[in-house]
Amino acid sequence: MGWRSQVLLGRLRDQATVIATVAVVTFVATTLLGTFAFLLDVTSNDAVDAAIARVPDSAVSLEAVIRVNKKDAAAALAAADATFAATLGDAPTDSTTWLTGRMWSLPRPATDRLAPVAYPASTPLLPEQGELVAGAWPDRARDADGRLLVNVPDVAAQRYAWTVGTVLPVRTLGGQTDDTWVVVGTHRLTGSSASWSRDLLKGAGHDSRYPALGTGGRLTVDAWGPMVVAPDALLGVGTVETAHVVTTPDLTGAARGTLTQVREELESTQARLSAALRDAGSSGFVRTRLGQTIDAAWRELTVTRVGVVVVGLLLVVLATSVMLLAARLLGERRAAEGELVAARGASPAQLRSLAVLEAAAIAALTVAVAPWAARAAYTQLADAGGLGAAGLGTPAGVPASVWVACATVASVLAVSLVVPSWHTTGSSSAAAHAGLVRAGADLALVVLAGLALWQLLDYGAPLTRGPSGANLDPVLVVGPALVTLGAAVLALRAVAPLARGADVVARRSTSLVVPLAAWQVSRRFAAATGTTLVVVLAVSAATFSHAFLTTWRTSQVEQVDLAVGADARVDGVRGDHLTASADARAALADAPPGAHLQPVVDRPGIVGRTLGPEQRSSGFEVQVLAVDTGRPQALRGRTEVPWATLVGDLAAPVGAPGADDAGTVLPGDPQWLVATMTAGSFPSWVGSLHPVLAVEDEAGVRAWLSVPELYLDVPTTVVVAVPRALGPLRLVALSAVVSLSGTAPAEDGDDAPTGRLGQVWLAVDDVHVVDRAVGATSQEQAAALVPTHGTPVELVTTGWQGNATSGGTVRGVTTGPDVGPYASGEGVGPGALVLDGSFDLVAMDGGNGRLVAHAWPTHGPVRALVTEAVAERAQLRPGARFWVRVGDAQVQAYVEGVVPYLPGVPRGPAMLVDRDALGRGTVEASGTASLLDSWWLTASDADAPLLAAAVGRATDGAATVRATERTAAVAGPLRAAVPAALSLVSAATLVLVLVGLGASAAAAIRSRRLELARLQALGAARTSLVRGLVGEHTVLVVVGALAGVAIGYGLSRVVTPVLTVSPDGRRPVPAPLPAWEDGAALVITGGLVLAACAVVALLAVVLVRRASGALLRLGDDR
Amino acid sequence: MTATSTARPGPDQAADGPLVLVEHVDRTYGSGHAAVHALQDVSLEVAPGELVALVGRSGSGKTTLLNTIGGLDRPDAGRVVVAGREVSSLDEKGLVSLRRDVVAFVFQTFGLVPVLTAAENVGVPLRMLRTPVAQREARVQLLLDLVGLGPHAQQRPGQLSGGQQQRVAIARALANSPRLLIADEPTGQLDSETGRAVMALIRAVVEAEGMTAIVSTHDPVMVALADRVVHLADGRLVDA
Repeated sequence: MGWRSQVLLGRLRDQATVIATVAVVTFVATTLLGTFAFLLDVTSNDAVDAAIARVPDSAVSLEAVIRVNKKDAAAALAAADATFAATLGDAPTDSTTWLTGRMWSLPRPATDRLAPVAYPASTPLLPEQGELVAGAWPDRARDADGRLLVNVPDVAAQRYAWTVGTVLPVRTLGGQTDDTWVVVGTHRLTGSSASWSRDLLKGAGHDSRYPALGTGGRLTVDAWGPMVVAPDALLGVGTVETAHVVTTPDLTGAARGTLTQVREELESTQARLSAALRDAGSSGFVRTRLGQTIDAAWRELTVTRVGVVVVGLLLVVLATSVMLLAARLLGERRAAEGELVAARGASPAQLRSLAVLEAAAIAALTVAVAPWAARAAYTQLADAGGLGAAGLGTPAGVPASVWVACATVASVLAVSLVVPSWHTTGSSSAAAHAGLVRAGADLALVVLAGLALWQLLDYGAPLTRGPSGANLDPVLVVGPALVTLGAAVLALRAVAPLARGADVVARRSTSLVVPLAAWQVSRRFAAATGTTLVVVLAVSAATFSHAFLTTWRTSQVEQVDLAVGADARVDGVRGDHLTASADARAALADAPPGAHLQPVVDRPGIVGRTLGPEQRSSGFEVQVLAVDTGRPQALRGRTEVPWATLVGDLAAPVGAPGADDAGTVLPGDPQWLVATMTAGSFPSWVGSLHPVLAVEDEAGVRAWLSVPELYLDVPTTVVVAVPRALGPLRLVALSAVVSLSGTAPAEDGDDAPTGRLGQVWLAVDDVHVVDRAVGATSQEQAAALVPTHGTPVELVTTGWQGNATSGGTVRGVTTGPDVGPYASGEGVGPGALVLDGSFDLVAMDGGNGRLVAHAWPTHGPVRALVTEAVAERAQLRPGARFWVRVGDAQVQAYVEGVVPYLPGVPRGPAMLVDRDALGRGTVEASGTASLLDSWWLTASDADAPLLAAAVGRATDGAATVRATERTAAVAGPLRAAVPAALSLVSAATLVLVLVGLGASAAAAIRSRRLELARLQALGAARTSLVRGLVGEHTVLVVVGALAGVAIGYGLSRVVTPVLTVSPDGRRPVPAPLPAWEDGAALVITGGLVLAACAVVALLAVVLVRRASGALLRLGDDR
Repeated sequence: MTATSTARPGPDQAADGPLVLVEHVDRTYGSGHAAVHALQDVSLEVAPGELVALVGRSGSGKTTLLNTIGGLDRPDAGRVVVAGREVSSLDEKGLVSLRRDVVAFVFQTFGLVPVLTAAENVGVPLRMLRTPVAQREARVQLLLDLVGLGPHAQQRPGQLSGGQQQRVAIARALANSPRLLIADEPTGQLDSETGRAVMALIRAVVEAEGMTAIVSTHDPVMVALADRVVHLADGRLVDA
């Protein structure tokens, strides 16, 4: 056995306690940091998988939209399947296929001019999303006679009196091919229309205005479908028009690295599909959001990782300080031994080799055990900290990265253990610190920390943004830890004058215990700094972490609030808006009191200062948000000024009297509106009008109903289908495109207008509605039922206003039951609503004019809140007017105020207006677009998810619930690591303080054992000495805690807002407000102080023994 | 066994009775074959004002006897009475009181608190008694002057020589005017000249303060200065 082994074994035998203490410190510190590494590893590898497993299928599915071009459908499908299989690798998938056959002509009924058409199709949604009305679903392609088995829409069967067994001779539209279908059943499609988006008629079953082949849309026919067939019926050549292959991967259990591979393959999927389809004679494209989904998850993961690393580094600094304390313990214990061995001829190199061997042994032991302890700690964290619930459970075994991290940490700590042996005096870290102070190195560290802080504030986040998104920047990430360390070192300098003051006070005291404690601190200041530094770092890290956690949580929640804009929202409203409104509100029929649903406009628009009907200047895109500003309590998102104040005046018209409910109520549940409409002109002209009628439901949702073309001077009975609605409808506006052609006839009569101006008028009279309960299925049937089942509608003809536009000039419109000589002369009844507008007839020759009238007073410019981005770009100030193009209209707006952001639109140029005001403004500006994009729900957090889901189902929209998003934002797979890490810091600081202070106190008591014994011999009571030791450490701990709190507070004010970033790494909107809870800081600091003092007291009670005579006599250092 | 060999009778021995009474004291360290009998049936009386030199070879039990008298160690058998207090049965509080009021120690290793100045070290016993600051400072100055270290009052132990440190230790021992001074080889770490000076100082302060002193020593000078010499061998008192 070599001499080194002998010495080490001897140390192990005689100094077991101190070596065990150092080993415990190393183990605890390594385990804690290993837990962080575990957290990072699991987050990096499993969080994206867990997050993607939670997104809807539509976010990860791949869809091949194939135009089969009458080629072999089976080959096209195989090409798509092969392409997707290559992209998704080994991930299990679920594929569905939609096949839509070519259009066939059905037998022409005697009453129809053109033969109706229909298309066979097979869909994966049936039979689940279909109601079998009669017969059965096709169980095979053709029967024994070679006839294609079809299940037809019930509406078609009713229309043409088809029954099960009806044989339909069909022919392709070009007439080249004949076939025979046999009806085996009838059905009605159910489910949302969104789910039928891949159907040719979007699940409607019937389109009465399907463009007839070869007519360019001028002629329309009835189209029916899907004629449901067995899937194999369409797998031949020349049978399929289009195909959709939807493949949804299940990435939940995918092996690590699968996502990376999938992401890379996605880049070439389109090219590969095109090539494969080309070989099959077809063409198509890939539709998927999987790439964006993965990219977004990765971006978010990077941001989360930065947060974890930042707090992890704080812990590294603290752990290293604790380790240096432990090294002091070891160094002081070894000082005499080192001198003795040196006196016996050992060289410094030999002494150092001993230290290295010992540290290596401790590190090796730690590395063998700590990863497993870290795994156990992570398991606890996963269970208690919500990581498990976020899908970030403990993986099998210990990941390689954790082994590496533990080995690195243990090595660093081992180095800090060895450092004291390089000092010839066997001094400690404390002495080293004193040296640093003398050399000004601590100030250099402060300067470095200042630079780091400056960089951090300059960048605004601890990450940089590159072409591929946010990247972790090592220098910026180290910044907070460096700032904390620099501040702590600076604080130590401030502690020295305090200690000197205590020294002076102690001299004038009559007692012994407290002055002795003060002297120990002030006169052994270098030794005391180690303890104080640990406390400063621990308290600052813990309070800062708590403040960061609070700020981060609050900010994430506020970002969600602002991004969602309401308690819940349902976006992507499809189908007819009145029907959607009916379904949405019906879904809330049983909602608890307080729940409210409002239609919202949320769409891009164009803003320009000089934008206008005549200027035609370019503008820039803004997000136009229109809500019911009479319900500001529905708006979410933190603002300095309440939304109620900001939006309070938006509904009011500018310079015009207030609007009220107006228009003509359509009684009952109208399905058809039948009226006589007459158009005319003066002087008499050749032309026509294309009118549209605006009807509005109780929720303020407006729909425009098309009226067949009216020829001038030809009274026409129009039958207009009214969409299904809920509650009474009101006819609120009328708009018509006026087309004139030919030349003006010679003017005659004294009352003829002169010059270019003429009159075009439109009269609406004899209005009836046919109720839905009547069950009229066609316009003809509705018209025929008016005398018996029609309900007359008494038009409100007063209060209407409007305008006539021709050649860019807007002129007034006269409205009312009897507006001029033209109406009476054409036999229009006294109850008619007549619009009479002035037009530049010459300019309209060959062009169009627009005649608009509405039941409300002209609203004028729309008041708007604009974001700073809009105000800056368009140079707008409150009170300024500007133009906004939204839908098909250009509306003049008035800047009511400038705000940094808007509900639901956290970033970018945006404007908020009152929805009703905007709607009226667009109508007045000749717009006929139906403005409805979303439904915003006001409900409690408990009710919102169910209610939003109900509305989503009813309207085919995508529901976003604020409460759910809030939870995901702070506890979702991609986020849960941050609060877990910050919580871990609090626990870790406590553990490290206990271990560090315990080691420090043990070292202090051990080194002063003789001194304490002498004081006992002089008459000091043991309890007094214990009190003195506790008091001495209390002074250090309290001073350190005060400094730590100050640093924690400073960091929370300065650094926390910088570290709190949005999920994609940008500065959050709204800007985070640094949170500092005095109560929590007091509890954390008090807890750490009490815990530290308690461990010191415990050690003092145990270690301060009765004075030993032998010790006193020999000054024994055993 | 009873104490032996009195060189010089103490001044009030007869009038006040013994200040220190040790009766049949046994003290054994360890047990079984490893047992070390440090003291065996030791009995001793020391009269007030007497300076007793305790001599014997290393390991003879001198320190054990001094520690037992000073309450730093407890006998296994027998009893020790100091100034009327039975030390061997005193509890912690009683021992503290004994050390503050009756007994003072001077150690071979001086026993000064390193972070305190000479004056502060001397003032430690006075702080334990919560002596008013002015009174304490005056007493400290007096004692430092007494031991000849007045000019070194603000120096810390590390800045003083061994002899100076021991003189500070003696001054500290005298601070609370103890009735019994126990010095365990006070010159053990000093050169002979310094040792002699320290011994002379002890002799002088004992006489000046009228206290009793028990000094273990190998130093023949101290032996010569003692009123009485007590010999210990293998834990037993022996005749000179």
